[in-house]
Amino acid sequence: MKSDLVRAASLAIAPFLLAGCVSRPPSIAHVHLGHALTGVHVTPGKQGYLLVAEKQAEDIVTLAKQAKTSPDLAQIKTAVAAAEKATNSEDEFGLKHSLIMASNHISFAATSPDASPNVQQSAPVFARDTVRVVERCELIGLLGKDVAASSSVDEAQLLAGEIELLARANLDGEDANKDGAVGTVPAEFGMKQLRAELDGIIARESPPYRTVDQWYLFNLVRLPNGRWVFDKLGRGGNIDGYK
Amino acid sequence: MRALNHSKPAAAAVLMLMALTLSAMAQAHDDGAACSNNPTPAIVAARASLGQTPASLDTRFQLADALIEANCYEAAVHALEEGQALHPGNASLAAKLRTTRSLVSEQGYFAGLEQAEVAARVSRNLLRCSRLGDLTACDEALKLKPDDVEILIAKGDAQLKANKPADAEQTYKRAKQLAPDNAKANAQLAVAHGQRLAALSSCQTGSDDAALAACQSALQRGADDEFTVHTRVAQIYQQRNQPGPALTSYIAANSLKRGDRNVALGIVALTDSGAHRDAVTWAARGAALLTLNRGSEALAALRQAQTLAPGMPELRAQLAQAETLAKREKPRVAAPAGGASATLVADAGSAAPAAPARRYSNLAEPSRSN
Repeated sequence: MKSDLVRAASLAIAPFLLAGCVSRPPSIAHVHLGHALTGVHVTPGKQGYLLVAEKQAEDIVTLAKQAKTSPDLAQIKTAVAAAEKATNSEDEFGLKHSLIMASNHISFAATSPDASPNVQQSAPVFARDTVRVVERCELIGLLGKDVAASSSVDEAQLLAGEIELLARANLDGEDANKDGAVGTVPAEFGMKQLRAELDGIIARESPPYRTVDQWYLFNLVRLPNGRWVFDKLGRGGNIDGYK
Repeated sequence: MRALNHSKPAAAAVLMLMALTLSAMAQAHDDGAACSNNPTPAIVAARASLGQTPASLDTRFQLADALIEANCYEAAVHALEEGQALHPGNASLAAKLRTTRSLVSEQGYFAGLEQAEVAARVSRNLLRCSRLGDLTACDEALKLKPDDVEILIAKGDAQLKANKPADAEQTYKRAKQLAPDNAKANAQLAVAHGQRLAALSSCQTGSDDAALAACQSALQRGADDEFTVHTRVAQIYQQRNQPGPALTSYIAANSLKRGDRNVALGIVALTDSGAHRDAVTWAARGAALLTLNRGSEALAALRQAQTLAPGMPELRAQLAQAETLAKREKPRVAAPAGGASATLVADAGSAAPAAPARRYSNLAEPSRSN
């Protein structure tokens, strides 16, 4: 009788115990990484900053290709303007902005109290390795302005061709040092190499990184004292923090 | 930069904050020595306090905060690392150290972003310079990187493309000075030199628009043949009945080499009308008349120049020379002070334009309406 009671009690509390195991909160550092990798509530489709950056990088290549192959100056200008927007717009999470935000969040991860030595050491390297992509974005912006000001189809096409090369390099990397291999050094990096670098950081994590649940991704806030906590009471973000 | 609010307007504010931080960090980077040589009063006070109580964690934090406030992030990390030796395993210290180390990383990151902007501007200008022959872009790129051989070669290429071999030669020479073994600089220098010689040949033999363009493209400041090219340009303009640019070129030639009789004849012929009444023209006329040993007329012209611009270089010496020469001359026709009618006085020994009808040219064919 007694054993039946114990068994029944065990069965009754088992779901709660299991739920407790499953819903154990991720580390703050991993949530920050999740903002880069998985999702954040402010981006289009609430995707992670790096995912947004990758999508923008692909779209820029398509737009630049359209511009390069168009024989019409107005069409070239329209396509290049769209490519420039996808590259440098802040409001629409262009490639540069999204990548910088991804890098920022990986840096937040590195400064979290529960950050692993791996993340602490890797975050500054990742940030530094994003600079070449940012530089190409800046150049696309400048060339985009030149195309907008151009009155010659030949000149606009030439510049659109250069924008396409830069866009491709931002997506796949480049072989700047002409050693026959693409993306072997940070100065050649594109999104493909940056993704591999971040995947490497994730793979080295101990305890292992697990995809962070949306609730944690969207409810991390920073208190005025600098501590990061999950907003269990749904108070929302505050001026010093984000949600 | 760590304080982020994820609304779009706030994102803009955050980026503005990032830009300000970037600026402050760049400033801090520049003022690195100030951290040790010129510390703020707060740093001095915190250091003194820590000196008295080196084991106090609060005092060490105060020093770190003062250093961070002054953007001395490396120094703050150093102070905290010293504390870690005294307080191993202290969680607050570890957290503070982690955050401060990230500030050092961010400082480098922001410097990298700033460099990316500069590099992009250089790349854009280099691209326009090399692919579109945009000389303005070449110069803009060289403003940022004046000794960059690649940009210099691109500029030389753009100048060659613009049919300016003389300018291109100068640019390639500069590239060669910076990189004597650069094969492209050497090869292009030879190409530019060849093109300039060809232009020089056209300049010397023709008298049409193409010849004039060839002279201008061959004209190189400081070259041995600069005088010859200026003279030839003057002659072509004179033949084309364009006295203004002809006189300008003769004056340029005269400033390079005094005493050339042909140049002197040209200047005198072109200033006989008295249409040009500025000090430079009067001085050039005076110098030319001196070359032709026409002392009295030279004196009149040089005095006009002195009246208009008393401080002109060489004027005093030329006046003295003219006065000496004038005294030796046989009195023929007195030259009035106005100078223009001094053309009536002809130097017996000179090959000056004989006919008063040839107002502008001393070289043009008689059939030309000069």
